[in-house]
Amino acid sequence: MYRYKNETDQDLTIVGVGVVKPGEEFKSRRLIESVNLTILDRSTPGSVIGTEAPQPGAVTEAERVGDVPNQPNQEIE
Amino acid sequence: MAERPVALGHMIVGLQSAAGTPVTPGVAIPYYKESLTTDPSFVKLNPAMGNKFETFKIMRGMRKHRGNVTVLFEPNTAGHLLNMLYTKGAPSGAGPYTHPFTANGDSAFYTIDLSTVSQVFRFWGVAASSLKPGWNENEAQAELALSALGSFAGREIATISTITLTLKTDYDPVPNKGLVVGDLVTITKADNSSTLNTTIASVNADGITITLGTSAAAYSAGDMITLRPQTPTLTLLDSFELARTYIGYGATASAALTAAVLATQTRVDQLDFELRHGFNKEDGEQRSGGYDPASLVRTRSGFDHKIKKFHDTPEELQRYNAMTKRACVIRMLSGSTNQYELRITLNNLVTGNPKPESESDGIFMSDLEFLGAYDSSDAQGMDVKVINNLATIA
Repeated sequence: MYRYKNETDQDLTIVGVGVVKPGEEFKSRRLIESVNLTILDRSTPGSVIGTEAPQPGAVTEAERVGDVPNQPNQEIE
Repeated sequence: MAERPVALGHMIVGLQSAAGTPVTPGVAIPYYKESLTTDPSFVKLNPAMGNKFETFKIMRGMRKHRGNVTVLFEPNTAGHLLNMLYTKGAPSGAGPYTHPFTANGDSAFYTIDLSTVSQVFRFWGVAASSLKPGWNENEAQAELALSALGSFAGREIATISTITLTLKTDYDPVPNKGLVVGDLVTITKADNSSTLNTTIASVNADGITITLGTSAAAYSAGDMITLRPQTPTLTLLDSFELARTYIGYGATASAALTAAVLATQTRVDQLDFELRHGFNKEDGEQRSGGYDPASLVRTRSGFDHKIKKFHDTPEELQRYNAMTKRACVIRMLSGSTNQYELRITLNNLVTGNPKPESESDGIFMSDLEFLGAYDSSDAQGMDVKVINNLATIA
């Protein structure tokens, strides 16, 4: 499960999720990658793709946004 | 390999700080159709060389990045669309916010990402040369003519050292131009056998290398890097519509604004306007030292305005004969209490010939074409205001 926060000052309609008020947090079972969202946490190992640590050089199906350095607007709690 | 419905694609735009500085865009604008493309302008060489085959060689040309888009037309994204066309002033109000645009300066530049589901085509340094409403019955859609300074559709990889990629320079001597730190990317094997989804960690000043958020050691020279789609997030209001478009005419702009309300509006059978802000060259300035245009230079601004309305009393004819000044305000309203708006002020109009062309089973209708001029007393020929719920257009 991924936990996100709407870091903008606007209501955000996230396609396939719903409307998230400014500053509100929400959880999603799927990975959402958007410059308007901050990823706060991801937990429940194995429930979604990309939750196991990749081996060096491994090809992953979906990259985990929280692992990426230098990514603006994103942080891990 | 799979067929991809266009409905799953999307368009996301982002305001750039400068013409040549792409960004990862974050403002999704639902679109109906688009034709943005990069024309490589290949040059065919056909010297005499002892063989009749028509082309000896094909050379890379100076590229053009252009196209049209038709998008949903509502107050929040309209602010961005107008920011591609005209000069944005300081907003006022505490919500709704009024964003003024004038036609006497330059516009901003945008990065536009177009998702084809499997990848993203990016255009940067995008600005508009015209904006007009397209009507789908009552619904207003916005049609824009766009030009861009460059594009990123994917680059071939020359070498990989874990997270560091060196890109081939076949397309351009600066192949990493267009990529931005934080961008979502996919590395794909040349034979399409596997892919790696990762992000851009750095875009190096050497113009050819980038670093990734994940090791791509399993990949090698000849594999491709492409942008991949982010999840679109929407902050939209109700679309503009003909039924809530109030048009007012008057001797001055303020009189026209007063008239552009429910009770005193001029109801028309057909409304056309096109807001223009031309480029010296719509393909951009093609100059030595680069394949992409050096700049997009603005020349003049203006508008076209036409209406169709029934013909009765002779006041239109009087205005046509005397060429007296007339101002027009077009108010396209949105929101539950009409609190949001696109307001177009045309300060000085001369009325075209109101003589109706008629058919026996119809009513007499005038096709009125107005000519716009600069208005000395208002010190402008036109302006546009967007009233929406965005404190800033950024």
